[in-house]
Amino acid sequence: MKILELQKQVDNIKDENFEISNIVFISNVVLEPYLEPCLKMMFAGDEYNIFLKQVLYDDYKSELNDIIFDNCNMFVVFLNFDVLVDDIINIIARGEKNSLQVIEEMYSLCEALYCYLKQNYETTIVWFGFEDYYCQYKNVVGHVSLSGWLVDKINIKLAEMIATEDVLVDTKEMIAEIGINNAYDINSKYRWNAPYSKIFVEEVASEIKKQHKIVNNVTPKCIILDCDNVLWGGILSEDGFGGIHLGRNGLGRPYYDFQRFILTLYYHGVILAVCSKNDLSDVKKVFNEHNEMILKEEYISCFKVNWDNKTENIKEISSDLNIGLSSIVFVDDSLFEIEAVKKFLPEVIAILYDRDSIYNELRCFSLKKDINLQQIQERVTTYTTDLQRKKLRAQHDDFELYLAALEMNIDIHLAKEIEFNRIAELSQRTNKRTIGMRYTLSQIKEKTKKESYKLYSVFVTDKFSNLGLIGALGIDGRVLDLFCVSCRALGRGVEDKMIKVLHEYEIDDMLFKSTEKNEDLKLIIQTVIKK
Amino acid sequence: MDKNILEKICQIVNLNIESEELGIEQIDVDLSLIGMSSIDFIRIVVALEEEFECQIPDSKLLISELNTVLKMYQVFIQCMR
Repeated sequence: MKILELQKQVDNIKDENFEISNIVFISNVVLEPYLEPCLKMMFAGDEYNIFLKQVLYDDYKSELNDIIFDNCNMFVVFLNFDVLVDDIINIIARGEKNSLQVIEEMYSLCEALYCYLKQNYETTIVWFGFEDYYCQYKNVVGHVSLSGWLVDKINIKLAEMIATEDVLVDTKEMIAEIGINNAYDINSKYRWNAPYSKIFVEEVASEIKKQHKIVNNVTPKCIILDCDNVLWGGILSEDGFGGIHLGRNGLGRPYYDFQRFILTLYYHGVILAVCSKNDLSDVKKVFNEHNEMILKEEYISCFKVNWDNKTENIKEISSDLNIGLSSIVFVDDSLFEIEAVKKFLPEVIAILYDRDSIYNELRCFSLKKDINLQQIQERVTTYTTDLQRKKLRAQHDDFELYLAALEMNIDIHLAKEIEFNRIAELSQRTNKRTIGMRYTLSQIKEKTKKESYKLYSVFVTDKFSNLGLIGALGIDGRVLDLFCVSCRALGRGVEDKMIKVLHEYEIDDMLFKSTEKNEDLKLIIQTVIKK
Repeated sequence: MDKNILEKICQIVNLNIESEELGIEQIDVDLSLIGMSSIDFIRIVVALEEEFECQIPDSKLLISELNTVLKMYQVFIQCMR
């Protein structure tokens, strides 16, 4: 597409109600004319209006940047190694410097920038690692590293510094994905210091969007999987336990690999459910007894295995797990089932299983790289024990008697720093029992520095399980700016106990943002404030 | 002067510079004085080169050489010939 057409499309975006996000892009090269229009188009799809401020690397400490840095929602750093270190191979060749000295010098430059940003601003940094695929010497020396994998060594050091709290993007992997020959634009490099091609800049924009979604926790929460020809090859009810294809070799290998991938999603917080037209006992036998099954029953929060309509089953899964349809991905090998879900449940992301394209389709997930196994196991346990809670509820007409039978304990205390990450995650994931304010970890940390700010954690346990940290309250002086409860804990009076805490403060206002599902909470809290 | 080409240049300039819309009567206005940044300049030149399917000489890739609609017109007419 020509740049003019792209710009016209950007101009036609109706962004009056979009959320605004300010991104500061610090670089020693130019990624225009494509970066900003690509970003605007990509983010418009998620109803974000992006304002991109491009700052030259040499000027990052300039006071002129103070205002734009203060209002920044995300820093993106993209430093081109070739521009940063002039003629590195010849410098090393004639002995002016050795590799170690270059690594230290480059690391120091990066450390100075990183520390400057971290010390002055509480904002996520997405740092694109160095790449050296531009190097032309491979044409004469072959594909051997002339500099002793210098760039890779610098990237490893950068990862140790950056990757704990922020994001280091593997730029070399991005270039490898599109092909080295497609990543560069020699013409633009010499005309205006813009060495990268339009294709690569689109990849950069796509990666920035991905990281933005991860930081803001914009991702489906649950994946519902068919079984036959998705988790194993063949039809279980026809081929039998011994006739399905699943394993490290042969016909079963694609399904084995797919299960490994799904397990990775599980370890990154995605809830797994199964929806299959089969006999439940046969399916559970495969999960529990087949030697090559990667996914075990314990990883699955809900089984809907019967001969009923899958659309209805998906609705039941949504209800049982208390997860909105728009947070669900459904994978099936049947075009009929996929089309039915697309028609009757358009909020669900329905994906047709195809061995070669399925991994690309699952890009709809945007998952934090850090894994908290304990939290994941707590969450899965809660979902599976929820069915037991529903049974208990059905046994008690009176709600108070039900709560008593549940033996629930609600602990609300001033939040500890170790809980901030979970609180930030909760603020971003909840859609129903929330006043709609979303915060990143950095923002939560910033708030708690103020003496007037009170942040509360809400923990719930009952006779079935420990639900962990499932709610949070934030009060800034006389303003309520955070109120959220996980859907896992709804229907137990947790919100009532949180509202009692509000009575201890003279609150006369609240920040509110509609999620289209939280209007009733707004009314409840407004009533409390008026009192 | 070719009015169509002038209008196209004005359209592309207006899409890229946040200021009052320029018309073909304002072909002498210094664009750097009404907010054209170096990045706006790159976007305008690339858009014009794609529209007119030509590449202007590198020697002309200076804001001072292309800071008015008229200068852009003259350079691109030359380029298209």
